[in-house]
Amino acid sequence: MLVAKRLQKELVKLNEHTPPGITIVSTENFQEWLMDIEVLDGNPLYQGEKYRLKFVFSGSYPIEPPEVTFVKDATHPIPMHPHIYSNGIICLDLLDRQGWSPVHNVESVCMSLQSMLTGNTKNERPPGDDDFVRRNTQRPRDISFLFHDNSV
Amino acid sequence: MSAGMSGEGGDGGGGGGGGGGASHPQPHLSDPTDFLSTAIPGLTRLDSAVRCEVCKDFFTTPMLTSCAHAFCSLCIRRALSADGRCPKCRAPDQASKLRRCDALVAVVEGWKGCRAEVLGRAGTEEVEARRGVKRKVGDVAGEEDREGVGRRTRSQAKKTAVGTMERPGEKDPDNAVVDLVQDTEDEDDGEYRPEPDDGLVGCPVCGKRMKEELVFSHLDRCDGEPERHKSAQPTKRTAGQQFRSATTAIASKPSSHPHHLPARPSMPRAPSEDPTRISQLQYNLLSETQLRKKMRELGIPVHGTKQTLVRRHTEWVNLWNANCDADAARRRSKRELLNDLRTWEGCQDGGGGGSGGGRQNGGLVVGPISAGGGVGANAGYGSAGPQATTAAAMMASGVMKKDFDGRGWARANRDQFSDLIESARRTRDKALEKREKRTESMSDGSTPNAEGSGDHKPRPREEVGAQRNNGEEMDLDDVDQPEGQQSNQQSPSKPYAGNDHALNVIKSKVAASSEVGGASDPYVPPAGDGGEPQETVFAHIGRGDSNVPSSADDGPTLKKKPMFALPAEPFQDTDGDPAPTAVQ
Repeated sequence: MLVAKRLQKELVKLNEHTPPGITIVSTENFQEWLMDIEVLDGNPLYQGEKYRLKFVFSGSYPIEPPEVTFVKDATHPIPMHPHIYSNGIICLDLLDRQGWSPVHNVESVCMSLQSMLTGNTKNERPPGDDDFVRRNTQRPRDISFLFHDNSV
Repeated sequence: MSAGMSGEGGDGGGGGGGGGGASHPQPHLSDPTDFLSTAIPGLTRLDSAVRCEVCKDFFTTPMLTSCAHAFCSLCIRRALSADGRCPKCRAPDQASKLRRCDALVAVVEGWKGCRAEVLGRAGTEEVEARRGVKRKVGDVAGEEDREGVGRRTRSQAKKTAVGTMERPGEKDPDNAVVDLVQDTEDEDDGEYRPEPDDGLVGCPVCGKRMKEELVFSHLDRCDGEPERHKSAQPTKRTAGQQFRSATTAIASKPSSHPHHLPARPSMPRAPSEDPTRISQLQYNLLSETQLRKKMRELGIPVHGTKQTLVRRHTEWVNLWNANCDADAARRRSKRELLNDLRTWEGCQDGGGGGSGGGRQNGGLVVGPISAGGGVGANAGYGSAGPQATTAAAMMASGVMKKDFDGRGWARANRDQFSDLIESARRTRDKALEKREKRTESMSDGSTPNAEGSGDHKPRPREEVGAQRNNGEEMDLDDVDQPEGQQSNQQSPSKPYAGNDHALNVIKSKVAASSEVGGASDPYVPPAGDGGEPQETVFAHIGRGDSNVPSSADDGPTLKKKPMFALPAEPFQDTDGDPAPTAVQ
């Protein structure tokens, strides 16, 4: 009820106006949305590429954060970033229970990720990426990240 | 004027079914951006200012936090119980520190009442809309902003009042607001100025000034008749009241006649009317039994694990207290609240179990995710009885958590599961074999008839279990299998090694018995009919886990032996054991 209503409102707003570089891909139901984001300011790392984000909403959204991951397919790579694992899992405090706030929404998350990419200059994966990607069977929400980098 | 609007905005979390299974927003869903394309795009700001940032809907019983942000009562209570911080500025706060904000209620009601009309006019008749509405933009939004500051001093209130009176005054000199505000100011001046001079104090009831020591004796016989009848208001008005009535006058309508002030829609109630709020409990200091007892006293459901109970109690406290915050007229009955609680539970992850969850999820389109909640649902609501010990062991690993990630678990423990499945299958085969031998020793055809009737029961169940395994989904049934493993001593690599031989033995015996017993033998299946389901079961399992090398090979062998499907015996021995494969 609360989830559906809130997401409906977000969708109305997004349909009315989407910020530059953000496109709605699929919002078929109120449990999973797909969004595309682009980095527009010509950061050479991400130029001309589109990244696909998957939002998974729990029954407690917006009190609890959505689960947001990058999805990889033929046309959508996973962006290179020291806080984005190559399986699409994002290490960002905004998406964690501690950093999340109910006033955030899909649009603001997309924009945060956009700016996170914009500000990045390192063409690298997080340390221990291979190992993490091979081992990890958990959902992002069950992983306890350690947020250490305040520069992002 | 705008029935649709107020209905839409008013129900906050309650009404529920608004979404009604639609996967796309309904056209009438209102949003601040509605005003972007009108003649007065500035109204967008006003419209979003009177909405809660959590639910994005008009404030329902707005409450102010200590950091002076406003949210719907239910929204902020939920957010605080989840996080303990203001959603907007992340300042720590407590639900007990929330304060009502009647001024905002009036603003919201006023705006909701005319929004549709404003929207209509702003969209079409540009000039008129500009004149009729601009006043609202400037004034009400201004009030709203200043309201955010939180504590108000007297002088602030006055300034506000003066501010509001000036602008309408430009266009409409005899506006109600002007009269009202000036009245109250006069009154205030008269009462407060002499205070420091005369060394006397005023009676708090009638306002008569006297020596300090006389006040108490005077109070005993004071009839409350004010000393002066300068204004219509008998007692002195607080700054807050002044401010509120000014707001009401403005918000209600620019056209309200002088001296005909609308009654305040939501005057503060006497404290005695307030139903008592419930406080949150220190859940970690309470045992499950104690918590259950408390919840029973409150009259809310007490089933489920402790974690479920805690969540349910928290939500109930939020619902209940938010209801206490609401105006008396809007307050809902306990029955309705219980209904809300049930709806909420249905929307949580894990679906609240089959019956409750399915019905309540009506508003949501059920997607692949909801299937993932299967484990949680079972754990929270299913008959957790028989597996008490296993369940307790699983507690530690979080399996019983309502939002447990079943897929992840299944993936992580796949090896173990397939081992278990394998060994369970093996033990069952052994049991079959043993059974076969026993039957052999008995005279053919003497088996009781009940066997035939029991034959059909366990089979569908097993098939379901097998398909779950196939989809990598874990279930209680699977986890339960260690029992089976313990009884198994064979090497895991070739589970059917000894079995081929066994099958041959069985086969020959069946052949022999059918020769003797003929068609009347109850063990002979009706050709392919009875064997079918069993075959599919094994086929599924074979595909499902790559770690059972021999199972796929065994598929065809099994197919040739309809005898295999026959005796449901092993299941009969294990009444009440929900995992048929765990038989020894």
